[in-house]
Amino acid sequence: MLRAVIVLLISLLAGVYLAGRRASPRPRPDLRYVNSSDVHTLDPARMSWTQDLRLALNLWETLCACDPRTLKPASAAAEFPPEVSADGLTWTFRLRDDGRWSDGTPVTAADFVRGWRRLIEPGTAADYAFFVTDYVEGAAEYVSWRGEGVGVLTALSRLAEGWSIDDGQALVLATAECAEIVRRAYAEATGNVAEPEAFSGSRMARAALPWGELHRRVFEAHAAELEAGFAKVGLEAADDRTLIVRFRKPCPFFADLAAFPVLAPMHPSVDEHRERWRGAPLTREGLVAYDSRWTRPVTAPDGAARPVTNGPYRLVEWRFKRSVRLEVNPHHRDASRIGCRSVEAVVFADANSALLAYEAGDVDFIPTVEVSYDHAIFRLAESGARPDFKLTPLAATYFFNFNCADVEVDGRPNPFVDPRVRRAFSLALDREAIARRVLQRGDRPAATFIPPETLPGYDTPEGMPFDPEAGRRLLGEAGHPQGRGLPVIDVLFNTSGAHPVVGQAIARQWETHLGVRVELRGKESKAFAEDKARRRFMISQANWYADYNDPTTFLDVLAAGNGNNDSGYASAAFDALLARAATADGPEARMRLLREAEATAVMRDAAILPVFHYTSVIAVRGEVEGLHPNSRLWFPFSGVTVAR
Amino acid sequence: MKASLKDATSERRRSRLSGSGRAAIAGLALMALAAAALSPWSAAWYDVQEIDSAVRHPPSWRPAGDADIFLTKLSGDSVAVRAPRMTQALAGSRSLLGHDDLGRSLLFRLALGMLVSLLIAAGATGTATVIGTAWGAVAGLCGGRVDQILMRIVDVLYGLPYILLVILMKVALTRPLTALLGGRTRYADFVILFLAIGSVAWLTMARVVRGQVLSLKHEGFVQAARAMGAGPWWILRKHLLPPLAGPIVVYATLTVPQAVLQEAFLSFLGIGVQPPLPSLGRLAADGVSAINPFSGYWWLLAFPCATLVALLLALSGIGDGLRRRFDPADRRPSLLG
Repeated sequence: MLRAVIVLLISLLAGVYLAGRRASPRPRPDLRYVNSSDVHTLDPARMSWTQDLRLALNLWETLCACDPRTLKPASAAAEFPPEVSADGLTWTFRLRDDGRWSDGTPVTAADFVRGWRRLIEPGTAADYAFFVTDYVEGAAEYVSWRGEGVGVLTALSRLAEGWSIDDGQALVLATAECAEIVRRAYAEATGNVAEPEAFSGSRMARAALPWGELHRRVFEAHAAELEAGFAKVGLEAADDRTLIVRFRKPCPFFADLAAFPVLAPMHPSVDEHRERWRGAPLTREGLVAYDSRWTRPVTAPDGAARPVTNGPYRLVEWRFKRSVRLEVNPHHRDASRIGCRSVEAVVFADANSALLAYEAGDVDFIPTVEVSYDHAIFRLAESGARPDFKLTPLAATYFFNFNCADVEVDGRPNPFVDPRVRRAFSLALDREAIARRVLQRGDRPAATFIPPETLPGYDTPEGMPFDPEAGRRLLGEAGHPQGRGLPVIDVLFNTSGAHPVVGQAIARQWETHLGVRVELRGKESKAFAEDKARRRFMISQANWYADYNDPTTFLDVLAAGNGNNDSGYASAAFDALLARAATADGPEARMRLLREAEATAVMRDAAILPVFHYTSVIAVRGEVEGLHPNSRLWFPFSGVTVAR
Repeated sequence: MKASLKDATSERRRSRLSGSGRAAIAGLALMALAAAALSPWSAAWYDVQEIDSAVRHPPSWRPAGDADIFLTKLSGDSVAVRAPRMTQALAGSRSLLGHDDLGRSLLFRLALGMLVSLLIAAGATGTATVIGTAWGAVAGLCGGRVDQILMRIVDVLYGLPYILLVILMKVALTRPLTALLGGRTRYADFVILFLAIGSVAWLTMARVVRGQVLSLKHEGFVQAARAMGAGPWWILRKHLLPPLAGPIVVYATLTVPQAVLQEAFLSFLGIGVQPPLPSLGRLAADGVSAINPFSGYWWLLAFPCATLVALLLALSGIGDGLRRRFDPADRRPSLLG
């Protein structure tokens, strides 16, 4: 018995040793960089995380590129600049004839239409769908028509399977245009006059109607109209090389948007993964859905590598929660000139261990060093002791939202409805002290919402000064001299990172300068996000990063009804200025109006309280050339060379 | 109760506290006294920020920053104003333990933090003792189905991870308590924290008390009282609680360090007291970022942790000494050797 165990143990050990020897060490890529968490998705239509977009911008080539040094749009898949009609509403992009997919086939205008359509179709659409729906003619109408169809088909497929539906779904059946036959059948079967009130979820579920048959008829009608419906959207592939985009309102910064990876083209091969039902390329509920495995790097039965991409790199490996590996796309026009032949993104959940790996030489590049002691890193970068730590001012702002809504906080009157109170709090904040003395990591004190000198052509308005005396005066005018009559001010903040320290410093300043009492309410990220979204705060901490190089990427956030407008600020004057800017004559007039809009929201109304504009430290090892620090942390790897 | 406690102590007067127990009591008394004596000043100064002059200033004999900021903050505080020389001396020693990210004196934050931790621990221990004793006594005395139900509830609560219970308590109590305290979340947090810790710590107490009651209720004197027509409340008060006082005091003492540790743990996770109010756990959590290869703000971690360790050792030493005192049969070596 004992001998058997010993033999077994020895053979096991030998097996482990041999297995360890067989696995050759993984080849070192030319560039290895740190991802702070695993890739969420590699489907460009669904992306909104920085690390996903960073991979996408290297995997796919969009119509325009964004030069990492100047952040100005440049030629990529299409020739630059595109032809713009006199009214600014029709843009014609001519694709370059040397654009190739990673399987060697040419990139066509139809591929772009396919990719952009995925961005707005119910089922594949996500956070950045507004890039198309806000600007492209007919896109919003198409999406709402499709959404109605999906609502009706979802309700009918539930009924067909014998489930009940809720009253909201019943209301869709009562009102949707494509549900006309359902209403008629329902009226016949029940004798109801088909008034919307007669459509309650439970009553419909009880009605003995041929739901399966109705679902089939609505589905077939909707699927038959699908292409005709999309034809009304202002996206047209005139021929293989010409893409015509028609806008509903002028979009002078569309070349910037067109460089954003969510507007990537899609190779026809993705449609192999598309779900179909009854021969139509839709699910039973009318959604456009893809098997999410289409982004996995595999070899298809025909020997071609999937997914097929048209950027300088192609995807060769994706190890879940560990790493993603890219290699040069051999068919790309610059394939032979690219110095960095392989790239690996490695996941380091802990920023501290990422920095240790960098120090040990295991990784070459950290896109943002975010450790709790970043002031120490900043000092090394600033003093020049570590030239590989590069200070990078970002187009991003740390600010506080005032609750501007009329609604009450916890049943008590909300003092911040009065813009004078908001201005008083904004005036009584010493931003210089927060940025330079408390955080000490190079952030720039922010007097405005939009970081100055990051957006070309935009002249920042004069910001909110630090003037506690004026703040006290304003508070007195608003009926609260020395803070009398104000409740305890409730400040909501996120407990991660440096937020608590900033919150405490700000609270202290208000107590000192305004004589108010401040209470801090720190919440862990998820609870914080929920409280913020439900506007359960008087003042809450927030930040915003620019998506594209135009002031509207910031200002749209403050428009009434915008999904990201957490302060509930709704000003007719501000919205009117944005609307006028959208149709303004010439870029100068437009920028002037936008400048006026920012001054209205931040200075006159003090809807938000800007604190500082972020500065980030990026770490690039000395042997890596060509990663240019820029305010959007935009890093194409095709221009990188590695001396090793 | 008063008389009965005296009985319990007089009976065992001869068995003395061990030397380590006495050392622990002395240590704890010293720390608690120092914290309490400093409290008027630490309460006034724990949040005085000197972001102009003292951010992350290392420990030193000479004060960093501007003494005037400190002294102006005190105008109106009676204790400090009555002792101007003491105030001057303390303001001069504020850099002894260094300063934190906002230039606040770690000495005063630590003094107040220890007081906060001790208060929460005392509150939690009180809650645990009251609930645990009542629960265990009722279960033991009634027996039968009542005992079964009560003790199964204890078993179920034992099985649940305590952190979950604490979070649930916090979620459930925050709103009503905040409303009750006139919207002052800072005090509500405080009360919730010790209620939450106390409401988890009573489980052991309930088991101990029940076991004792079960064995005592069959003793002759209880039987005799019952034969004379005494009701259960009378028996509990006059015959069961006096002999139980010993074990209850021991377990209560051992609960205090547990509660300190749990408070530290919860504050470390961010669900304890809210900043800027310090507690030992909060201070340690804030200091953790001091461990890294690039900067050495060691004092932000070292002093809170050292204080926590000293406090826990002293409290455990006292509990251990008391246990040995009340239980002469126990020959296990004492905690501190």
